[in-house]
Amino acid sequence: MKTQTSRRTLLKKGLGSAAAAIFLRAKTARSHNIKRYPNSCGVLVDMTRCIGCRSCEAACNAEQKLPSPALPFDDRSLFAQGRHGSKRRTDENHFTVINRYDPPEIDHPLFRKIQCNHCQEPACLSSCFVNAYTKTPEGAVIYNPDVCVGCRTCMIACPFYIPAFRYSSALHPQIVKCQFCYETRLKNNLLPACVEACPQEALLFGKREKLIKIARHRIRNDRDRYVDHIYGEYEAGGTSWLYLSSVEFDQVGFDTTIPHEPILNSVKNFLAMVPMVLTIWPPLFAGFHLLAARRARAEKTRQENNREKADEDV
Amino acid sequence: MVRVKIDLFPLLSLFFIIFPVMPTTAAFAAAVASTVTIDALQELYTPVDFDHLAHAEMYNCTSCHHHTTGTTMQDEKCLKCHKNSPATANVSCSSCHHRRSTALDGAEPHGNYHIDIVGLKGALHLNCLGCHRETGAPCGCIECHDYTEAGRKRFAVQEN
Ligand code: SF4
Ligand code: SF4
Repeated sequence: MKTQTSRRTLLKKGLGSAAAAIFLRAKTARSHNIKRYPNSCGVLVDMTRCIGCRSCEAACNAEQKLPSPALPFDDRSLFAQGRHGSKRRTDENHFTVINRYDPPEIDHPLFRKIQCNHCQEPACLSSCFVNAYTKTPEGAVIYNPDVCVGCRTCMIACPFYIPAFRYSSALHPQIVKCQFCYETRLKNNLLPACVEACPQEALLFGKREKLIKIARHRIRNDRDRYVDHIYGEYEAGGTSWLYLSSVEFDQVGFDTTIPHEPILNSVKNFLAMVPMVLTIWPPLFAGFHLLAARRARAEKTRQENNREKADEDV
Repeated sequence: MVRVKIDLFPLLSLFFIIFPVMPTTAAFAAAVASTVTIDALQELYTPVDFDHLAHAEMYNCTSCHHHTTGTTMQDEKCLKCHKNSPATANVSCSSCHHRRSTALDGAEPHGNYHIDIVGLKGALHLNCLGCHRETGAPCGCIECHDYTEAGRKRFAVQEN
């Protein structure tokens, strides 16, 4: 009798948390309806101007107080490393990196700056079930490390592989990425550190809509210099950082298969399942199991009773 | 807030450049400024003594300047409106190219023109490096600039 009571309690708990989770999910889904900020800012990266000097990387390192690099920032041997195969990527100590490409149809290399693109509808933000991320009216996608539980769903959700995981603190591992210098600069009306450092003005800060106009203007005025494509205007639902290039973007490391609608529209259902799988399924399935077991036992008891009864009748 | 303001201030105040106004008289060599000291970006690099005369002997004024004395305007796009424009009073780059460049500010656009004016730092580098890259002239950062102490620190360069 005692066992049966505790089983029933367990079952109740299981169903209770399932109901709670459904409610919770509804709530998070609501808060993930991302506001579009028409006046938000961005940066236009003109790759035809970039000379690969890495002043931006150096400035980011200083601004974000990241560890000293293994090689000085003016050491260009770094570009050669990635030639046959993998390119450098952003990680917990490098929020932005420059990679070199040598497209065959032009006689000089092109350099691509990578950092968080600060999506208009960030997949990292929508996928985060503790709501650690915020899209600010200025355009930055920032996160709150105190809220982050280190589940790394955002790393999977980001179409550009940007959020990195900082293992160095065992007690409080956390996600790190470019924050558009939000706290130290953007908020105070200062330019992001990398933008300010760029000698070629390959990085232009401004309102996203105006940047798109300027980008079109540059393309229109110099058709030999640019391909007719602003990367980030539509990719992943639009990003705050936009790129111009002199060769097709897939030749300089960009993923041109990224859909034009916000990433989360296509993966939302899958990602909503992550917290569900983690929190609801265990008690729910335990409940099902117990239910089934109980029914089997009841059936067995009934059969036994029947048999006993039959024996008596004989 | 205060902390951040402090680190930008010296930088902005150092974004400084002096381009002397050229007189329109006498022999060419006497008319052209011989050396121009470019002391923008003094935070990380020492000032550059630009050999203006050597460049002026090799190229037309309009290779680098838009409105200037000497030869007439050659840029097709500018000519559309400025065919008969007189030389401007001030040929200094910094009179039009401002120290902070963003798409937030800038001159009022003229239809499709003047909507994408680069800042001073960009104007100088795009102009100089653009030509240096084409002509095989020096292109590395420290071929024109020397690091300051702060510059060495920023780029994690060992003392030599
Ligand atoms: S690039 Fe990645 S990390 Fe940055 S906002 Fe978009 S989804 Fe988030
Ligand atoms: S500072 Fe500007 S020119 Fe230099 S590598 Fe970065 S984006 Fe390119």
